[in-house]
Amino acid sequence: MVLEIKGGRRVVIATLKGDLDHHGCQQIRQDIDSVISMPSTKILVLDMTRISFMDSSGMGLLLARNKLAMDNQVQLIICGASVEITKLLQMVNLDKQIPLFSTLEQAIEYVERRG
Amino acid sequence: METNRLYAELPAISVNEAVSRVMISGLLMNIRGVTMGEIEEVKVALSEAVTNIILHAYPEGYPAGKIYIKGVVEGGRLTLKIWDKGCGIANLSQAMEPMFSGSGSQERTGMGFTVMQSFMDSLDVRTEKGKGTSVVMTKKLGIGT
Repeated sequence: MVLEIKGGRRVVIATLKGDLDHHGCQQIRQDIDSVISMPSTKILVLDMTRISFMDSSGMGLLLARNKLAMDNQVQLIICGASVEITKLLQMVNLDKQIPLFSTLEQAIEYVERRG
Repeated sequence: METNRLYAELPAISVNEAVSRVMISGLLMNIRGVTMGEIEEVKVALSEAVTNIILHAYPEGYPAGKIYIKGVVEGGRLTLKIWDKGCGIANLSQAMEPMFSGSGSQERTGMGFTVMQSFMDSLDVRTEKGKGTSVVMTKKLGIGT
């Protein structure tokens, strides 16, 4: 299992697991898309604490998921990305498009503040 | 001067992206002063080169091929060569432009070579139509200490 879902219907917290390389992305793509496409989802928090590796395949996955989220009026939030993963997100300006937080707690606090 | 090296031939299938990363981690782990950050950067650069081979080197209609990897550590410097015997890259300068993708998929960022350049000290790519492509990257390790 590469994706663990918890949270309410409006705010969904998805814990990603494993490697976000070309191989790993093939497994995780559909799972995230099905959550984004649920009409009740308004905010999707992607917790990357348990992602042990990411390369440009992961960058592509997240760019495409962000576009799909925007098309579905869903706010994407990322937390728990490592230093190397954050560097990759910055390369394609994803850090300017998606709120990034160091921990899940900080991400939840941000969601609660927004109401 | 302490020298260590690895050589591997792997089938060009996506499960071997992770296999190649495990091998390079093993080679680098015992280098004096190497940091986890440096190992992670090498793993990302290697993964980009390996993924390029899996996606582009042996297209449909081409015989299934292999990924060749040679890593040499000497005097705290890694020289990493990754090559294939596939179709070659038709337009190398275009392929090396950031955000250019030779794949039809919208999910490819075209950032593979840019990532390799960012995470390694040097990058040299050579290609020949019908003969294959080789990528040579170097990185000084242990500079974080």
